[in-house]
Amino acid sequence: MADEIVLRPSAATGVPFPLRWARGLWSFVFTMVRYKPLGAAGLFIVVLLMFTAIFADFIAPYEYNDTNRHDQFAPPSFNHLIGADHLGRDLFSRIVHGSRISVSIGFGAVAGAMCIAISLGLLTGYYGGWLDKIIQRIVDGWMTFPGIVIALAMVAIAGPGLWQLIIILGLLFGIRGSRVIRGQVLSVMARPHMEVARSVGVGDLRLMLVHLFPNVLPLVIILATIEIPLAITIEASLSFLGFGIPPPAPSWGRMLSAEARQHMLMAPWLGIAPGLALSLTIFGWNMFGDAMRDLLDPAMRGSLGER
Amino acid sequence: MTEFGDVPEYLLTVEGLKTHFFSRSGVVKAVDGISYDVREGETLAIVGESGCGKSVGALSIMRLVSSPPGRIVDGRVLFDGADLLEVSESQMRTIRGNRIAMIFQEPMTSLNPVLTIGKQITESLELHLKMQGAEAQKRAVELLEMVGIPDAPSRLKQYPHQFSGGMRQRVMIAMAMSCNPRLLIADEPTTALDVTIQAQILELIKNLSAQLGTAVIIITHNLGVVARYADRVNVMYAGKIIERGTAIDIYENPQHPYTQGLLDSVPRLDEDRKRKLESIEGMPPDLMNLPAGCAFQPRCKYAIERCVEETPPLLTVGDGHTAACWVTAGSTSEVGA
Repeated sequence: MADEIVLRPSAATGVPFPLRWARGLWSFVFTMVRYKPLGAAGLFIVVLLMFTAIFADFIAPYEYNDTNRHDQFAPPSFNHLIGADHLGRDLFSRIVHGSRISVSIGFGAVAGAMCIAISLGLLTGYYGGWLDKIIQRIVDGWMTFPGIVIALAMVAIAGPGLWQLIIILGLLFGIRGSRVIRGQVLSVMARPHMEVARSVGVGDLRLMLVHLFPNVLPLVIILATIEIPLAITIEASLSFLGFGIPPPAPSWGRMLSAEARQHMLMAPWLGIAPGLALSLTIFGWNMFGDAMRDLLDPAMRGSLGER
Repeated sequence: MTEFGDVPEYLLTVEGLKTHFFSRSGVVKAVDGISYDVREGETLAIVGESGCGKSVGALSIMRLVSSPPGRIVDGRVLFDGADLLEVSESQMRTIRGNRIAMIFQEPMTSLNPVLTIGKQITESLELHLKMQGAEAQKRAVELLEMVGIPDAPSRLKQYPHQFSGGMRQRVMIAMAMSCNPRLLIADEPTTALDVTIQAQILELIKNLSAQLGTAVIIITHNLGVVARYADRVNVMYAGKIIERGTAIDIYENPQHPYTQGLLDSVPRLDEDRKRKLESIEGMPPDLMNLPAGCAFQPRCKYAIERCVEETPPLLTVGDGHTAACWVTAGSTSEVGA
């Protein structure tokens, strides 16, 4: 019984309690490991991915583009840890460098998406009226198209490339996300403390940024952790279809289609390595995102959800 | 020209205020032409049952009625020589929280859960008095001590969930009093609190307003509160004021059948124990579809034909005491206010 009380430190209070964790990164990590082991595993994978991306130049034994005629389709060995591809490029180095694309797409696209979602969501939810009607009808129209179709069409216009993809995915997720943010804004706006703030003489801008935004922030974090793996998947899909990052950049999705599909039976490591890298990354982000949602979701506030 | 004779100094004058809500199914006349004054330093109670328009009337003074669907369709609110319904929104913001402050009924949800108490108290100091940093902190500590919260410096760093309901209402009072407002509107400040805390909070409001010379409009459905704290009383029914007078007038000599019914439905310590508590028959009227004539007429046991034909204005029944009733007031008096 006593243990349960400790487990639910802020039951029945108004604060999304992880905000207090922000004080200590360590206590956050500790809580994750203690109460959300799967989420902690996800966090570990995510951190590993970022570490790899940042220090790719030191970790990878070769450049991602070093071709070597003698090592074509070399099987895994000490020289090539997980083998080499049809141009004799070291697969391990390519996977390691590929993590940079994954991380840039994930963070870049979602950072852009959050900027768009937050500004649209705050504006339409706060002011309502015709502004809300017009913008949200456009969002409605946007949401009738499947994401991949919009992305394909926009790549056809903007051309392939990392920056193009970041902007396209940012738009794609941002416009959709604005609906979610707006919903939360509407619910916070209906709370009495917003009226109190108004009665104190707070103006629109301050009301939005100081009083409204911090109440929406937990949702933004949840949304971001859900959308990062989605962005990575869509990049991989686009690259697989040949619309993503052009060669010779080591995009995992492209490695799956360009090299692996043709030579899969002869050199299975060509498919296994990028496939595994993608799956692990997505799995890590999803587990981490799930744990974050359990911890931050206002509906589950105070409880820790399922482990 | 009022029924109160020669007191010239009114802090707030509300004239013919009408606030209507325009919904798809019709117009809700939440406040339908109310007029009253508040003198410097006095405590005015506005009494009435849920949905009679007392809160909307108060929010209209602050121009905080959400629009759409609400709109102030008519009337004037004179405060310090200016019509608050005419001034610009930015001028209005310099008045809110500064010269007119408000306390709301839900202390549990009236504070922002993600901001510290200190941040919320210093906000109006920063906005209106241009205080910054240490100066604002110092004033915030003073304010918390003034409303009786011990250990103020460390309490400032805490979040609302670390405070009990009564403590939160004290914080609200500290916020409201931070700029020495001239008028405090307390909208059912004790509804969500238990009885001992209610008394403490009301005493606090009373003492602070007496100390600082603040006029108070206290909105309540609790007649006990009215008797103890109010100088004058407005009784509201269906968006209109139906009786006004001093607290003594209302208690000793209620003139409107509705006021009489309200008082009869409350047990009193100083009366015959065998008296049965009366209840008022029927339901409050639909504000979208008011009955003809006097809004209380369908529930009134004294109703006569004239009550259906003509809406009674406030009629003078005594010195400074008016009631909107053809039967009890009409026979003895001429049209007042």
